[in-house]
Amino acid sequence: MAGAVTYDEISEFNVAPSRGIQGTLSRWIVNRVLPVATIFIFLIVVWYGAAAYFNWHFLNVQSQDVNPQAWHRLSLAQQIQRSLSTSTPTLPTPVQALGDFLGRVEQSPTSDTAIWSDLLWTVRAAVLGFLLGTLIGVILAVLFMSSRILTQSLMPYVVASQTIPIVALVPAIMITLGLGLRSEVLISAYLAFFSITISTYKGLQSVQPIAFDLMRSYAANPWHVFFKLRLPASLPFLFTGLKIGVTASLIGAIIAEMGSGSSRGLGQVLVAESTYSQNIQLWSTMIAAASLGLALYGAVVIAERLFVRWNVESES
Amino acid sequence: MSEAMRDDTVLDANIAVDASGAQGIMAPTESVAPTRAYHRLAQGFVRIVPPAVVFVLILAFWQFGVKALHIPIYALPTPTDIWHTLPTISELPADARYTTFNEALPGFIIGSGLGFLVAVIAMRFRFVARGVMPYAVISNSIPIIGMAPIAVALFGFDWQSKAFIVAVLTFFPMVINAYRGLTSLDLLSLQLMRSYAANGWETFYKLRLPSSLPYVFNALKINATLAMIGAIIGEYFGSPSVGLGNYIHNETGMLAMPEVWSAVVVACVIGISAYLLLVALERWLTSWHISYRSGR
Repeated sequence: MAGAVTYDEISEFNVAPSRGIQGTLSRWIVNRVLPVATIFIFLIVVWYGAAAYFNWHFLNVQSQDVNPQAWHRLSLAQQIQRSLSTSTPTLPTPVQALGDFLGRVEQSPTSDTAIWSDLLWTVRAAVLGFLLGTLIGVILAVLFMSSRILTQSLMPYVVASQTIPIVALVPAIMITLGLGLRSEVLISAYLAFFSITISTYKGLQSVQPIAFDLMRSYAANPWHVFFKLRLPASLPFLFTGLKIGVTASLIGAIIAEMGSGSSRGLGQVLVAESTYSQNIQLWSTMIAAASLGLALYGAVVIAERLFVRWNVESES
Repeated sequence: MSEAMRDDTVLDANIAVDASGAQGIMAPTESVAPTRAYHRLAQGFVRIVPPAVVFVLILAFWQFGVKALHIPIYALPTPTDIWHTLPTISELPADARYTTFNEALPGFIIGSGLGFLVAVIAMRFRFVARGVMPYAVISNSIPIIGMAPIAVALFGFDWQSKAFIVAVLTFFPMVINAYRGLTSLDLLSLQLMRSYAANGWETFYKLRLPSSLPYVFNALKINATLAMIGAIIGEYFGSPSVGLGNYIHNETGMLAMPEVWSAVVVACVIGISAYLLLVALERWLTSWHISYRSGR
């Protein structure tokens, strides 16, 4: 870092002295909290600006039909204030969206408007798809490791599988396999397996030659080499793939629900809310989906900490 | 993309020595001068024949499986059904053109362009990097595609809403990859530029920009697929009765499966063509890169 002298140097943010706990704390605030908070405030301001713009536009057009005089008697500030508090916004404010989300979370799981049953449905599809995708991904990686001809004949399709727009296939798959969990799980697994295959394949080949020599000197058979050497060595790589795969499986589940016309799940909730122009609810469902994504990702990170103890990177 | 998950290493180790990390290094090929042409031919043979055999096997399995199990055509048409139906659909070219060039491409260019711009700003101002990169990394674990109906609510049924969702989808992969590319440099190269008394602009243009290209192309390849997905999903939430997603949606409603599958084939061909186009462009622009140098 000391030799890095381009204009990074000029932009070097003034770092607080790093002595003692106080220094560490202030450095953490300056280097981590302050930039993130600044961008956060920037995003919120942009959001309110956009909400005022879109909703003002909508109310302005609408008032031409209803009562133009009443609308134009308001000052601009009053118009903007009304734009930000309308109950049928084109773009809800963050407070409206978050408030609606919290309201739906608080409702009892049995209530019709509660989000829990759809959330759980999507979780089930995503987790099952993730598990299936992991199974397929690991099996493919092991096959690729053990056979060159298989790698040559199937790898192009593994890559091609990710370049085709899977959403186009969703309605077709739904008709072929029938609506419901089975198709959803399959689509979710389809999106998840790729990163797991690639990273596990890399991991299985990441063993250093000297370790093979050691195993040979122990007269280890191929099974021992696989289970005691290759598999443990591939775990950090596998988890890198799993972290990408778990999000992909959630995206797959939501895409499947969106394209299918099935009656449950977050994707279907989004379709219904879009149909009825419930824009506040659209955002609060999106918040639910985002929280779910972060939770699933977090679960994989925790699993990684538990299973990959020896990996230096996961400890730091 | 996988590497980008570790934001801390990206942020703090501003100079990583491994500039070839985005691609991996191909095994050097042992080609002796007199037999080089023969070797090339053999290599091409090995690369093409096994996948081709698999392709034929899949099609045959599909064709005869459907026939043998008496699967009705509205559940799953055979490849020959699709082959015969595909040329008869007159509106398909217009739909494909609209989805690709009116929806996916503008969004792809806006999203990737803005992503690159933000990456450059983040490279220039460490404060911006520290503020933006955590959000970019978090965005990796969020199903952004769920914002498709929101985009339609904001920008209407026309192409603008699809371009918007595509731009949002393609923005973050580019930020992460381009930032990584622009900042993971060989320390020696930086010192060399310094010894030439190169100014900031020259260092950027002659060193950082070229060495970021492999990472940028990585993002572009991811984004090409995301762009098609975003455009098609966007059309499910409303479109001016044109576009591939719209066509698929309508035909599914009528259980016209050979038509649906024909559109799927077209969508796949577009996706794969875009990918191959980017691979060719990458080879042309980064022919200096280590992963292409072997075997020459």
